[in-house]
Amino acid sequence: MFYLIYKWFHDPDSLLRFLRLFKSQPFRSMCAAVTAFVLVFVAMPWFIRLMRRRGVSEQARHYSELDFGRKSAVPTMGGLILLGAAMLSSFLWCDPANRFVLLALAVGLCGGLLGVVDDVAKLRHGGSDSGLSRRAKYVAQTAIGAGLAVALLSDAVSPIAAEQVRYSAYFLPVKWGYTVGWGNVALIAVFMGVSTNSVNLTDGMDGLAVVPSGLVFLVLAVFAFVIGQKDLATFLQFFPYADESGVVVNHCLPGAGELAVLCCAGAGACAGFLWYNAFPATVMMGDTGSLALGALLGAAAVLIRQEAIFVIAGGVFIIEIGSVFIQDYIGLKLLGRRIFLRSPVHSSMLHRGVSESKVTVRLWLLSAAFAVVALAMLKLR
Amino acid sequence: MGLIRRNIKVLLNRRRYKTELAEAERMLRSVTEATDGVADDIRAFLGSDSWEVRNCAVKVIARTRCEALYGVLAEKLAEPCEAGIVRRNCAELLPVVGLRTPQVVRALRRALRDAYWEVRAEAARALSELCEGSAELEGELLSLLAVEKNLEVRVAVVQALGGLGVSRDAFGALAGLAAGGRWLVRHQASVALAEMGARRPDLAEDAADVIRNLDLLAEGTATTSVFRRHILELVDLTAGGRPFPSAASLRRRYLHLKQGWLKGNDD
Repeated sequence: MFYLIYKWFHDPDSLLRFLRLFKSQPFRSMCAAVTAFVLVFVAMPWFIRLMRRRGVSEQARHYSELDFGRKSAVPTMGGLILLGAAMLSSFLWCDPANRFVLLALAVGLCGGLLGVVDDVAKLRHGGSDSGLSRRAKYVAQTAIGAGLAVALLSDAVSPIAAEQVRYSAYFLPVKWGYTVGWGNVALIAVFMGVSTNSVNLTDGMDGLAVVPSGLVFLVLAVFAFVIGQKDLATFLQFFPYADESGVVVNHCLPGAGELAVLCCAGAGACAGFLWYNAFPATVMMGDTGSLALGALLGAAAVLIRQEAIFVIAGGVFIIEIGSVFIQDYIGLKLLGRRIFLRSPVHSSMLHRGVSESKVTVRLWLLSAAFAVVALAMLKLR
Repeated sequence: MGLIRRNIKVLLNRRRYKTELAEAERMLRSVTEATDGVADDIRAFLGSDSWEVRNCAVKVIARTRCEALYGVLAEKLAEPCEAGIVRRNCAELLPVVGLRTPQVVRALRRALRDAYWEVRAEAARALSELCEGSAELEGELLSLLAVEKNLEVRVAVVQALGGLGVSRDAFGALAGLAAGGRWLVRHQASVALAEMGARRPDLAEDAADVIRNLDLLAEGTATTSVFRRHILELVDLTAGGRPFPSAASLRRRYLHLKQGWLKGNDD
């Protein structure tokens, strides 16, 4: 909205020349982060009271060894406020007509809706396992991913003009992508399933999912900003493809910088949510929040063609989903035995006697390290 | 490799085995008596390529108390090509059906050195129930405890020692474990000490002393309310020199952590 105000009313020769501030993506990014933080900070106490009144509380899993009774009284579905704040802040500070932003928000909203359906089913049937089935969630997540991929690849809707960039897969942190054409739909669908599920699985302890999510948002914001600037993208050799005359040309993705604003809004919303979700939590994001965050992060990574950067920066998410995959599919299905004491990793650490707050802080530190490595990939590709 | 090949076959023919598993699960839920027909069905399920179906069959043997097939439990436990979860459940179910033959005890003792940790853990628990008061077994468990690294197995061995608990050596080992290490081991060691105190009045005062002096602010303890609650209860029970409640009641009260075979199929 503020970007439109700049576009409509900016006049370099009048008093309104200060409106040029709203053109600057870094400035709008910071404002978006602060706005989202304040929105969550202000709205959450009201939301917590509302959820308490309605008896909407976390459906915690009860392991006989560990007493999670405390979590059963904590209001859930805080992800509604988190997602709402990120979206509202994005609408305020992004260019609302930007296709990168519109697609990312649409995917985030779909993830959030899926989470709402899951949370409501759990609340209605009163059990942590009575939400949507695992298969239903996978199907829905990959369908959302496939939708995003089709939009990205189709000429009519895609925000990316360069065909080589659209039809290439970027699952390795190298300069060159691999041209896979419409096969990208399957790859992106699987990637979205992984990103959404991984955040969902990581959200098993107070504050555990929001900090890595916030850090990944920040890393993606930096990449989005760089990729959106022609000089920077060329200097850092993003998307080099030979043109008709055989000369290698680096591509930037005009408009991708707006995703930096959206990502900063997401990071701000995560920070605001952490205020209430830090151990011991007064509100949980529920699947509403974790699926929305995963979808939003995945969509942002796909839209700037930096799936590899999500995998590196979100290393904690990958470790968590990897441990579940190894336990469930390689261990139980293939070998007929367990490989880890518990999965995901944070449950295993907790089971070994590391206190919950220490597990959380250790995984935060790990995700900060992964974020630093991902940022180094700006130059080391 | 045999097991992996069978599991791959199951994964490639999921639809077929899904039906078979659904039948086995239906049987597990509904059948309570071991008729001839049931025994035949169990035998058929035991021959399945899907370990989940075989796992169900093993559970049905215990649930229906199908004596004709009790031997299968010991056989499966010793079968190296059987899935770890199935062998684990066999070890868990042998004391449930009360099969106490020398062959079973031998198989369980061998299972204490099994490569799969869940089998070792269940074998230790099963042996403590089948060989109550055996000094020989206590020695074996103490030497296993000295080399065992796996948390779950250590927990199970400590729990088993509490059930067997006959010597001062075991008491010393449990007191040491209650004072340090992972919270799950400390928790089980404390309960095991209380059990020993209940069984041997000459150790009761020492056991109560160890429990009273446990550090409730150590990491994992402070944030694990179940541990704190149990220790405080034990301290309360023995306050003013009162004797420990019976070992059986302590077991019922604090050691209900595992009833895996009654839960879902991959439990």
